[in-house]
Amino acid sequence: MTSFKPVSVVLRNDYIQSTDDSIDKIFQDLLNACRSGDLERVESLVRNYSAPINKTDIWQCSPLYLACLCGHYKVVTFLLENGARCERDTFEGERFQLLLDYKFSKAVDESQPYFKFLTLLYDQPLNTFSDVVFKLSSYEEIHAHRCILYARSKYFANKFETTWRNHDFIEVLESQWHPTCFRGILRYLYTSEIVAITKDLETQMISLCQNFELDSLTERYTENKISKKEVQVLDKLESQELRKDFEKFFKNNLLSKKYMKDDDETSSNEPSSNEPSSNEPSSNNILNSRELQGLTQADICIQIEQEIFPCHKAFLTKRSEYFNVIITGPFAESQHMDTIYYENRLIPKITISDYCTPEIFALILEFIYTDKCDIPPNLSYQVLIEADKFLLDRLKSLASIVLTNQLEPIEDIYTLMRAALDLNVDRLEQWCSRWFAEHIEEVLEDQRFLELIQESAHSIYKREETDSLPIIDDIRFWLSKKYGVLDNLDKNGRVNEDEESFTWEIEYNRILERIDKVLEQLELDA
Amino acid sequence: MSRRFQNAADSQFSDNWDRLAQAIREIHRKNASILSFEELYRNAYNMVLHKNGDKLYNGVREVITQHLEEVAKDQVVPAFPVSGASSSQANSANGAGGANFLKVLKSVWEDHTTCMLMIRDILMYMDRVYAKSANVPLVYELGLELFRDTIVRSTIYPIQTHLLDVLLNQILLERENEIIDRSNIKASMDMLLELTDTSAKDSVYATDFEGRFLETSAEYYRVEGQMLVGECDAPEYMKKVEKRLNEEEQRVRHYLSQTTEPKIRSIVEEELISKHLKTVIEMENSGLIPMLRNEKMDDLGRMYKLFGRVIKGHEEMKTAISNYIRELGKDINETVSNSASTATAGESHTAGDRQTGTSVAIRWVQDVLDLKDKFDKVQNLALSNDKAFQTAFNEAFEFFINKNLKSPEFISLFIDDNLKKGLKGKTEEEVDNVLDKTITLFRFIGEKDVFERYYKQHLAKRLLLGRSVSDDAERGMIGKLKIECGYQFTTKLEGMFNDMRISTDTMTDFKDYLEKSALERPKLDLSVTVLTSTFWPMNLSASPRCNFPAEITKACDTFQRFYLARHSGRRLTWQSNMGSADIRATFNARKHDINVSTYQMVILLMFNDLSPSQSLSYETIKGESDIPEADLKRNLQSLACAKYKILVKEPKGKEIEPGDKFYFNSDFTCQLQRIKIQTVASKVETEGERKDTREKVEEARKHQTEAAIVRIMKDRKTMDHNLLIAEVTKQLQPRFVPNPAMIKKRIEALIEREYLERAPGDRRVYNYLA
Repeated sequence: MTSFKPVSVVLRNDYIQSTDDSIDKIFQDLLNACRSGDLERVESLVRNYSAPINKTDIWQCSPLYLACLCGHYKVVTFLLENGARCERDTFEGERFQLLLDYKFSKAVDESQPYFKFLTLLYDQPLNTFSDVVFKLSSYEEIHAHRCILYARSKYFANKFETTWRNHDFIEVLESQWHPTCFRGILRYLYTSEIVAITKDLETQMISLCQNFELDSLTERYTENKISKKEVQVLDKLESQELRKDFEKFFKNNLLSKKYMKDDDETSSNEPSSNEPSSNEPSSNNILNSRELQGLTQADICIQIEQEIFPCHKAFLTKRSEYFNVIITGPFAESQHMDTIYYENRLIPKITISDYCTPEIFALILEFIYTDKCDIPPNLSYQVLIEADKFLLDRLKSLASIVLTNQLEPIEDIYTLMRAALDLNVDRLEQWCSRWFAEHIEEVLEDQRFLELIQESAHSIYKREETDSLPIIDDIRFWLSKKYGVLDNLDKNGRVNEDEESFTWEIEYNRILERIDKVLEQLELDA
Repeated sequence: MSRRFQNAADSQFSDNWDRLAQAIREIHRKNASILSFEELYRNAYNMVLHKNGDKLYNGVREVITQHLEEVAKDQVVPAFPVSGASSSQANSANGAGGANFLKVLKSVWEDHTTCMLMIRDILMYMDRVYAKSANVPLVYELGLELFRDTIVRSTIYPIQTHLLDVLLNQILLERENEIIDRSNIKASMDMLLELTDTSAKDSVYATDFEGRFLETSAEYYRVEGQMLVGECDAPEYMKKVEKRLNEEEQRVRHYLSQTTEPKIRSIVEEELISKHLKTVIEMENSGLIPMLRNEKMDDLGRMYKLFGRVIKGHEEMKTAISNYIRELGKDINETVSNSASTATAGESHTAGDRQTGTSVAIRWVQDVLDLKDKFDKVQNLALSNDKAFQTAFNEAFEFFINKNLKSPEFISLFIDDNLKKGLKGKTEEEVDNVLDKTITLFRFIGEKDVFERYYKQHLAKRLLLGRSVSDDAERGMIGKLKIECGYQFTTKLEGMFNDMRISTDTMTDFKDYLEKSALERPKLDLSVTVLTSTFWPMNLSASPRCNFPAEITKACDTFQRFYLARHSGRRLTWQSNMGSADIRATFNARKHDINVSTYQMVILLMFNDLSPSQSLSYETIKGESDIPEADLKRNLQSLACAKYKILVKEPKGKEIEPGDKFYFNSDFTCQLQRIKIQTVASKVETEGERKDTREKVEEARKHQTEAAIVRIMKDRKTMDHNLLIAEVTKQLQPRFVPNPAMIKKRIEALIEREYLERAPGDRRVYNYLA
């Protein structure tokens, strides 16, 4: 029996140009999934369809709120990890302990995991490869990451380039840097969060902000009467500023510093790992020349093919489980690391000899450092594959968005379809189905299409007889959209033909006939 | 299709798998550092991507199982402790063997978990992509399951039996005060806790270990409980139990799961406390009663804390203590009735006997107060002011206090004594304190109306004879009673005070009146207290007659005229038995001011007209004065036989008999200028008086009961008999405990008087007749 299965989610070819109607449908779907606790559905909607996670329905219910209300712990966890906004003083904020663990705050929005990561660095510097210590007094030592301070503050960048260049241990007078104030400023630098301070510390705080040349922060502490709404706007600006800082740091200080490994260097590296800094061979000069504009503060280098990327352990290990094991795990990579002399420091170098190309790796790094990624369309397919391999789900959906924003497939359509199925990327799968529907006449001639259908049938071999083939159902759906006959189909999915039928309706029925015929040939019933 | 995917061939699969299997083996050999993570990760990734996730997963399972089987055979089994060594002689040897076994197991477990973490790292992609879609446990969990099935619950070797035996044995050793290595046990427990039983959805600790542990513990403590009860006295027993409880708690904290804590605790409580509750409480020379007797607050406190852990514990303690209080109360009551009976044995009621009657009353109250103090202390120090105990104690006190029918009188007397005695050395605060305590006793009295009657009598005497310490103290006491019983209870008492105050004003006015009026001024100062008859306990109709001398009658008439002119429609009746007079008597030696009662004054004035040698016979005095015989005798007694002998009696003797003759004792000497002739006041009632009071109380109760019935019926119109009785009882409770038969009588009386009728259809129902 053939039966038409309406697809519950309408796919948009282009997320940005899509009609409000389809966003609503996706959103409704998300709400329902949150109510029922269908984690996979929620994942798929958020990852592949960019369902608006922070929208609210007409009753002001957000997906997070519903998931909390219905007690779906895993769904809530997922939503939070994927940027569900949650404010402390709202209903959701009060009712869920888990929310507290996420250190959500006013500044946090759709980039929750990224800010969670930054908060982690701030909270646990010792577990996250901090590389500088500020000693404020005999008992007050504050650990921090050079790269963060460098990226976020001109003052620190300048200091790290000059006076503190070779110092990991910096003694400051407590009277100048009040510990509470300094911590508050660090928090701001790490997460853009602005912590409240007590009245008696206000002057100290302001002077310290001025000392560090943090103009906007100084203003925030001087200005005492701002409305709640303004605070939200300002906080949002601050978090955007923080992103910009890291993007700039990544582009200017990291990406621009990658360099080609030459044989000369390899040979010079070996002795350098044993000898102190004094008389470095020519390679050191080369390195120095690269240091002209700003430093990287790198504490590790990753080599892909012949290119070397200066990086930071803090970012790599805490943003990617894969790199965490590579760098800290018990395996050969971390146990037998090469070392390299870089920016006057001896740092480890790890070579990744995987399929990954330097081009792709640069994009992965961009994602790791900035939580965003400008993926050139021609690379989007590879990024998708690599993101899946390194288990970077967000990057994977970024790549799938780029892929599906194209009018024509950038790779062979069957390759894309296969990848969509293998890597479980709904968005791409729908896009391919639609492409097939639009090119149905040619496709039906293509042997590879038939193979695909057959395979699809095999993969659900154990299915009940009445079940249908998802791929064919999707194609039928897109066809009915294409011919605008979605609303007047009979139970066999055909348009009732009569004298008044439009030509395209007849056309539509004819195509369905063809599909059925093909299925019959394949001895499949769908 | 992508060329890359097409490359996935079977050969590549087996190649990938071989490398991974080899790597896992290397990890088991602790050689992880030679393995390239990147490469292994890629292998696993490729396998999963090419739909070989299931083969990979099953392969991993096999390799790990194989390894664990080897571990079981090569490491665990050889470490089995010597079997069959459960007898006590071999305990220590077995203990050491067991400790070694646990140590081996600990290291096996640690190795396994470390390896599994590494395997998990390699198979990260499989965990995320395959395990989730195939709905199988993550690889680390798989490792736990395999460890559970291959080692802990091995079907080949009796590892489980040995493990449980060793653990229980180690715990036994520790209970027997041997030092064991807790860290090894802790490691095993953690292992059992981390492993889960899939079917029970609970940890292996809970399914395999906990039950056996609790069983053996129950057995152990059953035996120990029986032994200790035989060997120790109560305080020692409780100390041991406390120690055991602490030990078990520590044990749980150190190496068991927190979930076991309530279970093992309830076992120890059951075996060591619940089962021996009664035995410990009733232990001779050391049980609960001896503890109370010797005020062993620490032991009592310990008992309270320990017994509170079990359901019946406090119940038993409460009952035992209450019974003890009742017993002590009975003793106190008995001493009273004994001394009362010796007092009444003499039949005649001399002043001396009456004095002892009062002291008996005071001693009774004091004893009860002391007892109360003692148990308040127990309550405070040992029972952490437990409300339930307080209630039980109160009930016990109530019980025995109401057993003594004289208690309302005794308490009133005690108060009287304190309000009078105040001047004799006690500070106001002390008195207040005593009165506060007395109020607590008052609470226990069921017949508050009887108390009220006595209190009124005693108060009246104090007021009229000017005997009370201070107005403040009196008012304070009334305030206390008011708090206890409400304003109705004290309105009459307050009315008495009011009368006293108004009388003072009236007297001032009277003096003005006398000065201004042209009337002849009486030869004496008359001071009158006008009492409202309903407030005071005097009986109007039975007010004793007495013939006043002429001057006094005249003065009285003057006052009467003055008063009635001001308040028309009132009637004054002279209460000659309540007054007092100051008279100046001229003796041979000197003059004295003598304070006497009105009756005495009347008697003494008779001698005014006589020469010193003349005498008056008892009969003459009686005839002329018309004083009631009992009063006359008492007053003559205090004039002629007491400390100050103003009159001389012939023949001499303590008792006044008809035919006695009295002379004025002009030779009387005394150091003091002012003399007060004591009249015997506020004593314990004689049997006759008591009967009288009783009757009055009964009469008052009849009225109150009827009033209550009518009040209720007026409101309800129709009511069932039982309900009515209940309601009446409830309303009267604060004043006295009415007895149902009495209420029934009152109902019948009301039916006769046609306030009520029985409902025509149902004789058990009454209707109110308007």
